[in-house]
Amino acid sequence: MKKKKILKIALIVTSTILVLFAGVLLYGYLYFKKAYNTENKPYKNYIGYIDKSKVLLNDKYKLCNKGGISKTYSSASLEAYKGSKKQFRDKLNATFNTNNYSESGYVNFRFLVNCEGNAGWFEIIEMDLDLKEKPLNPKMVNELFKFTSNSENWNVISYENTPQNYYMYTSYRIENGKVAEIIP
Amino acid sequence: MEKLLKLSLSIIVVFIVSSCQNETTLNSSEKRLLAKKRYKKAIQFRQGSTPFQNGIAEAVNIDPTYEQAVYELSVAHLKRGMPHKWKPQYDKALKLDSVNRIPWRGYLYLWFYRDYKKAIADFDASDVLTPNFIDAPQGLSVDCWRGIAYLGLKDYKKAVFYFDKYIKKETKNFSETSVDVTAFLYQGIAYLELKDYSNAQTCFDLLLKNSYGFSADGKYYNALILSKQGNIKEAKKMIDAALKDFNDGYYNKRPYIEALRQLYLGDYNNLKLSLSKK
Repeated sequence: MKKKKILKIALIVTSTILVLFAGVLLYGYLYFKKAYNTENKPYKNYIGYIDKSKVLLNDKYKLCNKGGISKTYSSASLEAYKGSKKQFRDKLNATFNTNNYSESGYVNFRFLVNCEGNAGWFEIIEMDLDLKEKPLNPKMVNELFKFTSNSENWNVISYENTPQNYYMYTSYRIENGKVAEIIP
Repeated sequence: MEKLLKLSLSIIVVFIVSSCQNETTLNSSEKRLLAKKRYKKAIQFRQGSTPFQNGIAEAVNIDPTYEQAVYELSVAHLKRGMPHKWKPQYDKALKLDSVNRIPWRGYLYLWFYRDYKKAIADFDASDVLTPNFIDAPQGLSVDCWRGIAYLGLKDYKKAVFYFDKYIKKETKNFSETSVDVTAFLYQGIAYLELKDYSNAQTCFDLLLKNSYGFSADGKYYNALILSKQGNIKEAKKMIDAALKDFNDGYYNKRPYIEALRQLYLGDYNNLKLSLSKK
């Protein structure tokens, strides 16, 4: 009799816990589903998202690991430059800065590097020095694009020994036709 | 019983009315409260993600004068290399709180856009906006930031001047240990550029003293000075110590972006190689 009662109580307690647990899970699921629902919301994608159908060099390489992209919080930054940023800068100074351009502004490239270190999926943003969008000398921009999209400049970045696709941006501050600063 | 029923019904009606109260009928403090609540919920998500941005956008819709929320909408654009989207949003926040956002913008111009002139203009403007107070965006005096901006502009005398101002004030008000060590590093570099090796060495020694003896940059520049002074034997020892600190991770760096005058392994190896030839 006593055993039966204990069993009954245990069953009630276990079912209550299970129901509560399921309730919490369901609440969490619905909460996240609602939070990530972008219908009638101004932001349809995370900031920095690259729409692969609208960018340059989007069919040359393939993204690995089902297309997952790391380093989207800011960018891969200094980790991305093959060798070091010093090497990247030295190489650019030896080539680009020998040209006779005269414009000033920023040229930003936002792109992805796949798990093999191949750079593609490029978006280009051209701006004046006040950060307002403005078309710059196409020849100059194209030269920077060729340099930036050269996969020899980019590292393979791994997480737990697995090479990842990653997000990167490079911003060139150009003063009188010379690259004065490279960011990040 | 009848009274209880009436009371219950009244409570229900009041509850329904208050819960259905439209955002437009709220007064400004109620709007702020609601916006803050929405903002708090949104920032539980990853910065720049859709629930983060959309949640904050909702908070801004509730209270368009909620500056923190207006500003926060800009940040992910800054970190992810989208200045054309960052600037218009930041300008909206700046209109709501220019006293705080002008020096802060100076800090962002300095590091994220390497626009030293604009950064200095903002730091100077902050002096006018708050004449009795030295602003400190990111917790560091605008005088120190201004020193770094002048270093970026290669105006070494002005850089030294502002580092001096910052270091003296910090030491007087608190102590030498509360000085940000990068001020010693960058002032040392400015002196080095002015070929004032004695003052440069003093700065690098202060950098090392206040970094518990660990600073690859401090040791690198000390090795450089020793080499210029012809003390090759000590310079070689110093560059080896600098390399050790570098490999142990004790070097000047910043999150998200490269630090100004950041040194790389190649810089250390080049100096080591040039010393080995002497």
